[in-house]
Amino acid sequence: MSFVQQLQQACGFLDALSTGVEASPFEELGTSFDEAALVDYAVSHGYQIDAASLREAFRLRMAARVAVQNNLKH
Amino acid sequence: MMKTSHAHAPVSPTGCLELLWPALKAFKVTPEARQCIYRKAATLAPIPRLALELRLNESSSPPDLHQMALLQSLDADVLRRWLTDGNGVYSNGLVRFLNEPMQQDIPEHIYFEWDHSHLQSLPAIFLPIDSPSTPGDRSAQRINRLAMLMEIAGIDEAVTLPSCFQNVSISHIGLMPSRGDLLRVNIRGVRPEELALLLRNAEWPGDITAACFLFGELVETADKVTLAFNVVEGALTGYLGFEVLLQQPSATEPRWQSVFDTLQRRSLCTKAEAACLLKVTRTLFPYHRDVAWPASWMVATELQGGHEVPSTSLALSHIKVSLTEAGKLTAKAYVSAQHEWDDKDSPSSAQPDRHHRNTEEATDAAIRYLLQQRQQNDWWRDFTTALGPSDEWVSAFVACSLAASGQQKAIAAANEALVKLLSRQHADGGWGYNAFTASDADSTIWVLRLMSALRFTGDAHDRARNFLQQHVTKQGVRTYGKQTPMHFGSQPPLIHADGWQSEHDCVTANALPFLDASALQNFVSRQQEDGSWTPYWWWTPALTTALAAETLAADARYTESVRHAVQWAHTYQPPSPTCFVEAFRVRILLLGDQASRVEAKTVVESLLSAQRSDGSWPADSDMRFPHAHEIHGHAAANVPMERFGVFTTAAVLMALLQPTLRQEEQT
Repeated sequence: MSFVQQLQQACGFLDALSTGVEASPFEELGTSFDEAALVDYAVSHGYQIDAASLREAFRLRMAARVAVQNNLKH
Repeated sequence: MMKTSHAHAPVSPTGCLELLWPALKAFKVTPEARQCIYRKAATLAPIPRLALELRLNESSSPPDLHQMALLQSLDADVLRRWLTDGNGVYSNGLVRFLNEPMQQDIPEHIYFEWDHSHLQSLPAIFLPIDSPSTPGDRSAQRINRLAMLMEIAGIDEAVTLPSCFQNVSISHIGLMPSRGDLLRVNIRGVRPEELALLLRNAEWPGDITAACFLFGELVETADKVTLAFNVVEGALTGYLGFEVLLQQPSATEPRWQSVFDTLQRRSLCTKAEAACLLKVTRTLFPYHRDVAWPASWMVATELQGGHEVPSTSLALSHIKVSLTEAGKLTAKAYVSAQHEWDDKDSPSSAQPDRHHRNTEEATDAAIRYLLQQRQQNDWWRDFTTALGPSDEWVSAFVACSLAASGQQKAIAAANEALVKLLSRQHADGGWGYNAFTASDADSTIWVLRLMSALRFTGDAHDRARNFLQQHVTKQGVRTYGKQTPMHFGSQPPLIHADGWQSEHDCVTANALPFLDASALQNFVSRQQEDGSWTPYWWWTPALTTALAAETLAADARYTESVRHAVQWAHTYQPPSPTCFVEAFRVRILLLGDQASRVEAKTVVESLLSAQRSDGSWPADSDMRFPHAHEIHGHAAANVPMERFGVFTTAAVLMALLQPTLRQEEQT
């Protein structure tokens, strides 16, 4: 699977958390866990991602939020 | 109210560690030690505010762990909920403490601290004790807080403190169960000349001369130095700590470098540690490419389901230098990481006062505020610029306001400020923005005004007058002389400084009491059609026009010019009304006819209603900081630079002290 596909999967995972489609990992992992634990969690829920794609997907989602906020301000 | 994590989704403190370690590469903390600290952090309340206590020049020692809770924020709810769910230690007593009403006049921060060797033991717990405005062991608050501290720890005894702590202000007291019966007492606001007596009265067993010398050196460099004493069974041990705090980060505070220079001179810190700590303060965002946002915080953010973008503030909180009875010195650095959501608007603890003060009461409250804001080293500091905060210019300005008050304490403080300024007079006879900047005419003029108010004469005065004279041309007064080396602290020299080295009407207006008749005549010829003069260092003409009009009003030849200035003050509509501008508008209006003076009283009423409960006015002076080559100053970034309201409060105080206003109020 290419990085772009993994990135799409990671975005899908984060979006599913955000919209409540996917259950909170806090239930299973507690509130303190590392990146590897979250990747394992996502993989066990059917998302084909790795640490790099998860990190980049989250970064892009935050950058997009900031861009929208800045756009609204202007 | 500032929102924190638990108002949203729980945010684990472990994320703080994930962001701290990459910023602390100079400290060789082993993976095992990191793992132990991480495991401890994972058991803490979900308040993501951690700090690491790093031993300097002992990089291999693992750091201690701290957690802070800001009880005037939603941290209190998070902690209360977490404790009542059966977590943590000290639960019953802490919940009772959290249910008490918080004090509005002190920062209600509590700290939990674990020594690395006792990560599994009970933490030390620090509670805030005295309000800065009501120190002393007769304060009901101190008695109440000490009782609470004992209750939290489940100790059925009253705290015994040495009698020498009766009249000092205790910021925090910590119970340190991993160190036996030890109490840590942190004392704020002790002035260098008071320390020897305090230590003697306390029968502190160490070398008092060495302690006083070190304290004096640290106080001179820092914004605050808090004393930390250990108390066992009511008596001091030989330990004495000096907590060194600066309010601005190293990027805008050259004094941090001075602190590390002091530590390195005494071999208390390595060069690599200093370099690392000087760079550590930074705000991290999850969209930064070089930041690996903690995975648990990613989940917390996504679970919000909204549009929030969190951030984390990494900061060098303070340095502590410790002195033992045997004279051994050690140093530690405290580096914190605090997660914030982006909707963190936090109100100032000081709000507009509900009780409407009259002019006299407002004046008294403002003086109290300014005296309280004076640092231990007699300086007032304010403004955020790339050159650090100002002390020389700001202190001279504030001292001028106090000198005009006629109140004994205020005049004494003004005199002490002048003594401090005299100790800093530059070789060229002038003063500057701060110790890292060259002398400038404006700062020197404020010192000259202070000297006049205090009737000070002598060599220092003559040298200052001579310095000013060298900046006078037919076009007015230059802020910096053409020959002044434009080199500020460790920054590269300014090659093009034509703007800063030009004549400026705001500086000239300030200098008018010291200029001759022809200079006044030239200055008047530059009055604008609307009656104002054009400033360089300020966005609005208010300060410039007020200083000019007041001096010109003493000379009958300039009656028309003053009338024109008063007309300007009548009609001027600032882009956004501020207390700072209104204060100077009052001073101009008071120079006019009866109608103008009535309007001045109306403006004063609005100023009185804007005064805050602590006696201050909001920091809204309109100083601007143009690029050095900018001749007209228009290209300055429009960012507020005053932080603490010291300058604005002094400006309003000066307006309220105008004799004409007092006469008007009596009629």
